[in-house]
Amino acid sequence: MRGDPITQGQRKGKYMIEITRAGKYSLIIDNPVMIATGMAGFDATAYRDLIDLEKLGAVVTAGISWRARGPAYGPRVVPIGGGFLLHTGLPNPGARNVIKKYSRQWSKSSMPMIAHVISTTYEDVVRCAEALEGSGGVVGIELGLRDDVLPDELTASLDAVREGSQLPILLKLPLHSAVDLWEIAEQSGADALVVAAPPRGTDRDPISGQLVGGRLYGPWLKPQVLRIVGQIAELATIPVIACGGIHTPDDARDYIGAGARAVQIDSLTWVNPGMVEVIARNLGGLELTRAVGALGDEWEPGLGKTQVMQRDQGRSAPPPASPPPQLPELPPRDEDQTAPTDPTNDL
Amino acid sequence: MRESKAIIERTRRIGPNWQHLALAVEDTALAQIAPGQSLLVRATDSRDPYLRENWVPVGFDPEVNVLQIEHPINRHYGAGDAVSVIGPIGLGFEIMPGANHLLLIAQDYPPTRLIFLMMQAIENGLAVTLVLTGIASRYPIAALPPVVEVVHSEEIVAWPGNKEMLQWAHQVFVITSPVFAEERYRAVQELARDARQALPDRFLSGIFDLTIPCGTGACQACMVRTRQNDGLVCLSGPAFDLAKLKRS
Repeated sequence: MRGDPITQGQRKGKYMIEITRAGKYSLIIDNPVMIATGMAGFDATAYRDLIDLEKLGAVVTAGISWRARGPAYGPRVVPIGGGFLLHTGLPNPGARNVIKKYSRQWSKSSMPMIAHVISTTYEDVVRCAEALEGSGGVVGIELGLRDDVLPDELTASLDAVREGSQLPILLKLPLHSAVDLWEIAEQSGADALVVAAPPRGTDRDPISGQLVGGRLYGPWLKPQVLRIVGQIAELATIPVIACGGIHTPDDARDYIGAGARAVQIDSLTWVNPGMVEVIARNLGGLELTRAVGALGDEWEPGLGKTQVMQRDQGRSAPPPASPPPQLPELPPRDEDQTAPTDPTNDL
Repeated sequence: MRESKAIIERTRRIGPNWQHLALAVEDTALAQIAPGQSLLVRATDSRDPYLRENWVPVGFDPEVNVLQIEHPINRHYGAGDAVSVIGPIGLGFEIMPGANHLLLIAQDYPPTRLIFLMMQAIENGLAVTLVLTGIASRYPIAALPPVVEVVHSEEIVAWPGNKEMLQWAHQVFVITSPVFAEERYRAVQELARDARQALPDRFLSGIFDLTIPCGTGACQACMVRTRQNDGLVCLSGPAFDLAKLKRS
């Protein structure tokens, strides 16, 4: 897919980004920034006062299974250096109850909702996919897998979703087996690859003293995922959606530069929700340019009095005594777009 | 719930391990904060700590929109520091109509989450007894109003006079470590059953001081199992009626 990282067109003045395999049911969004599963609940309304949800490309729901699941016992959150470990047990009231409670909101939402289906038994995945398609509120299904999934199980899970639904299937690959599994997923009918599910780890909970296993989140995840996104996007013929450790617009752009068609934002949604909107505006071409010294736009969440003072101090600072000896040359714009630097050269 | 800025105006040490931060808030919604509710705060642009901290108010001055936050002295804050605030988180504690005597129990755990409730109850003319057991007995009480009856005990559950207190209390709030919440709350419940003929609804509330990653109900990491619907500490907590908890 390299060389065509974003399929762009003009429709009502917006981008059109096809994030799944081209076809009758392909999924097109107008901003490459999405919220990852588990980060905004089942319908994202909890974030309507914190993020302008209209600016996002899509939101992936929390994990849904056919049968209800309870929460994990014991500690569920363990802070680690620069991140945290999370083990919730993927609690949800079961597909029928989720649909009953949220499908109306999904249908009303102008933002595409993608349902995340937890891979369980074949029959349950079929029923879950059927029910979700029947709800009419979701535009695609993201399939989550166990970390130790075998190729046969992956194929069976994809078959199960396909048996229950014609919606596009985004397959979320485990980080450490993504390189081994993506090709099987592509051949088995996945419409897009989400790279990757957060890796699992184990650490000691400082409060209880217990060892807790769970998924790991944090900005340090990005370099690991970026490498794998670059490797897979180089060869895959279906779109790759990157997910892992995005905390700045540059992080997201790195993924797009590595060949991802879109990105999913994970834990940033909790620690700095305002930045999610900044990234969506930045990648959606909505970032406003403004005259030097002008007041920030009302949407910019980081601009408080302290930042204004810092900026004013910077403006009154004297210019440097002498210009730098040689300014770096920027690459030509056209070349930049048609022949992007291959980030996997040194992978 | 919104994200807003707040400024730390003053810091004051109230004991060897605790400090009070005077936090001037911009968001008018935070001026309505009730005892039991808290804030998710990001105090620094660095990623340590990465998750937002749960800051618990112990008082509010409505004239200047300043919240008093009680915080362990594990981090240095200075006057003028700006922080990002999301809140209020959770529901306020509900006092039953007609309750005149509150029994607040901190079992081997800091009583910080009970202090704002205690202050407001005193303002409203209620009598308050604060029981501090285990490590909670080391909490500095010099800053508390003298009208509060404070009972100290090294025994975590079997503090002196516990049955009598549970008999005359109109409502009880208990806090303990989330690690031992289930067994300790069950022990208090059994104690109350022994002490009283009947336990009315909401007589005994347990406070769950769990780590809250998102504060919006999205992550479901702060779920507490109840007999009707599972509750989230960040939306319907932190206090839950102990009679309605589901036991494992």
